[in-house]
Amino acid sequence: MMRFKPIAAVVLLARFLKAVVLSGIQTVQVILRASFGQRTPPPAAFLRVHFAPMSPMGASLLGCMITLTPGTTTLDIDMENRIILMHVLDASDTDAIVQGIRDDFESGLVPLFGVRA
Amino acid sequence: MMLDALVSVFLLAGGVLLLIAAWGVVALPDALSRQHAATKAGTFALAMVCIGAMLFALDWAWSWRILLILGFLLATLPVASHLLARAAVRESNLVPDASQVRLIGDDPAQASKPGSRT
Repeated sequence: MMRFKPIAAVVLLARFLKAVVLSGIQTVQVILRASFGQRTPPPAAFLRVHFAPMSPMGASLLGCMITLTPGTTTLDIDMENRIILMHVLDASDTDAIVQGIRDDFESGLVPLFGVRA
Repeated sequence: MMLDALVSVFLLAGGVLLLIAAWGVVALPDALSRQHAATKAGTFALAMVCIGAMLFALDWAWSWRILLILGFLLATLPVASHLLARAAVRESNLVPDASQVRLIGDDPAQASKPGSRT
């Protein structure tokens, strides 16, 4: 059984809340743009992203966090290759999506659920 | 006075966000995009409404109950969203082969290896 790390958990929670607020605003913008602006919804797409080695528990938590952040939904988790298949509402900036997952979720989850590759 | 204003801001913001989310279900083009609006805006907007209600009550007895509501929301929303998305994908057969989907970003386990970015 791994040791519980309260500080890492609180940091993760704070980062998660930040991501929810930021991407919530982005999703509202996407909806408004799709209905009023130039009436062209941004390109939605399926994407796959590698994730850091972590326990199944950590991976499912990462999946839940990705789903809870507005604009991205986890479809499938491939534990063997460590790849998450997801659907994104606004795929115009894929680098930012990857960066967001890395910085906000993964870096917080690895200290809690990380395993050696 | 200040608190009343703050409560109003939170409740109003939550209400407006829910309205936009409901409109998103109508305006977005396909089932997968729509479930984003239907489920995810809920996370953000309902959290705003709950925080507003908490500030209005200013009473631990109510705050715990509202936090419980938020907890249940955060536990059930991703499952609902995930299953809606999976059902949509399965029905429309949009992803016949997952290995063909575009892979973005590096593998963090091999982050030192350059040039694998697509």
